[in-house]
Amino acid sequence: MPDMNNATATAAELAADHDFIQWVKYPTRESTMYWSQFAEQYPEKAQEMAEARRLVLLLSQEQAEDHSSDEDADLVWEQLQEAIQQDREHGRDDGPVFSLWGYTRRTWLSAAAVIILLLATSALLFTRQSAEPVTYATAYGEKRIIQLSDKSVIVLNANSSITIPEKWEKDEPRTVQLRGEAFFSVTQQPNRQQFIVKTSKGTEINVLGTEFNVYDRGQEDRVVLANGKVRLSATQNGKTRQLEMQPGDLVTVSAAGDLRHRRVDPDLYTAWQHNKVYFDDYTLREVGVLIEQQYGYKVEFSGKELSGQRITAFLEVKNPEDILHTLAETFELKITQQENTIYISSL
Amino acid sequence: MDELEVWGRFKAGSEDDFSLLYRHFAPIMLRYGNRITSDKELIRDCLQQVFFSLWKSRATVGTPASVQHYLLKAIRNELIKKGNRAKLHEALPENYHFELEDSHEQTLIQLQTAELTRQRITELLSQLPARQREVIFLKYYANFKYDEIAAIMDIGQDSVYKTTYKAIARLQQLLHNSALLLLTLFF
Repeated sequence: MPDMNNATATAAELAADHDFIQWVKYPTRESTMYWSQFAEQYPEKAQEMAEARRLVLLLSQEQAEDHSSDEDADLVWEQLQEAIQQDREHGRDDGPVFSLWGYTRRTWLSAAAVIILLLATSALLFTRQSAEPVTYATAYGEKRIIQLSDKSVIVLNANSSITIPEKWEKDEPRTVQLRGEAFFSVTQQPNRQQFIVKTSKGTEINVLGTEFNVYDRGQEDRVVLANGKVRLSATQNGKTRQLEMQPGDLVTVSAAGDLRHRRVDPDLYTAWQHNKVYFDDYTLREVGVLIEQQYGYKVEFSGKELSGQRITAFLEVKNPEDILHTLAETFELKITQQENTIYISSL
Repeated sequence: MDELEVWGRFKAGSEDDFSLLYRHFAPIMLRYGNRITSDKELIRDCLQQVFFSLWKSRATVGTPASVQHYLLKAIRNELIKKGNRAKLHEALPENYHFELEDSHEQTLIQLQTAELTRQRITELLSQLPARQREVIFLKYYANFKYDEIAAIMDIGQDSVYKTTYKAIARLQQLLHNSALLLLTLFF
């Protein structure tokens, strides 16, 4: 790229600068240091920098027309499966086959065989209705992708668990039980079979086909909807409250069952899947809780005044040190570790 | 998801990993398609074709440095191959009139929701030439470096940068006219 002349850089030049864009979107300790030095050196550029930053954020957003894309993706997937199946039936595929779709041409004989097999299986299902559900769990610092039999995908964050029935009944809602945090990408079924996520606090998220994030830690449950539509209901002390969510909605459910709603950028709340973390005006105490919950450390602050300080940041995080470095830089802190406890105090 | 691991298992014939790749990358490919043409059916056809060919050639296809880069270039090539010129986006004329809000207050109220802001930005972007819109998508949404964008679009790196810069300067001008930038506070 043509070297930017820092002294005369305009907002448009900054907004087109690769390093500047990376800093705005994915700040690191080094880039934050670099750009704060830049701001100090050229104080007259403050307005240009602020404008460049807004331009980058505006342009990085999704566009209005993007919302239909996800339904299109489902549609094309169905057609793609058909095309591959047809291609296979014409015998032009010489590679390995999809085991799910069988590997012989359909004849009366094999159709009969399939029916018998189906009957046998459903009988088995019926008798095994009390079969043990399956629980998937992640350790501290671990993430896990789970693909369900209906092709829905769950990304389980650290120190979380999800319980799934061994088999879905066709006419009953697909129900899963979550503890911790997970991102759900739920497929829509032809019979509009529901998908329900239950949290340990009694919140139920009722879905048709959609993408959303559920956070069930600490004082309140937090649900962020990325795509599609969900109905959220919370039952506390026998009282049920309900709410329909639109994409970009964040709803919190307090321990008392109160629902609160605000608009957010869902990408920020699902960024943990890509090893990024978003602190949305967190107190340092809340940052500490996140480190405790996701990585299993104990975090101690030297005083209430310090732990009440607030931070808004979007960070790339591979391990808890990445968060601690940023805190140390931003608030000028001394951070020490003894065994499993991290002590944080002012310098 | 570790894309190279998923890619490796897909190459070995895993249908689950093929499905994972699809789920992960189809949305961004459709979005990219939207920037190149308004013909939704053409975009869907091309998406299907890219993944169909990918499945058929799984045993012989190489391992790209970036799967996203590989797939975006693939759908772009497919769109250009299949789409006739008339179907690809034509920019609105330069003097396209941008409607200002009736009053400042109304603007404030309308900008309360992210969805509306999004619609306004889409409106503004639609006033840029097609090539500028495409570069903006690859640079800011897909987060590619300038040399990577040059490789996708088959043009020089310098001209990618110049196109980006021109697009931003034009948008800045449009935004100032609509007073949108000043009111959009994200953080």
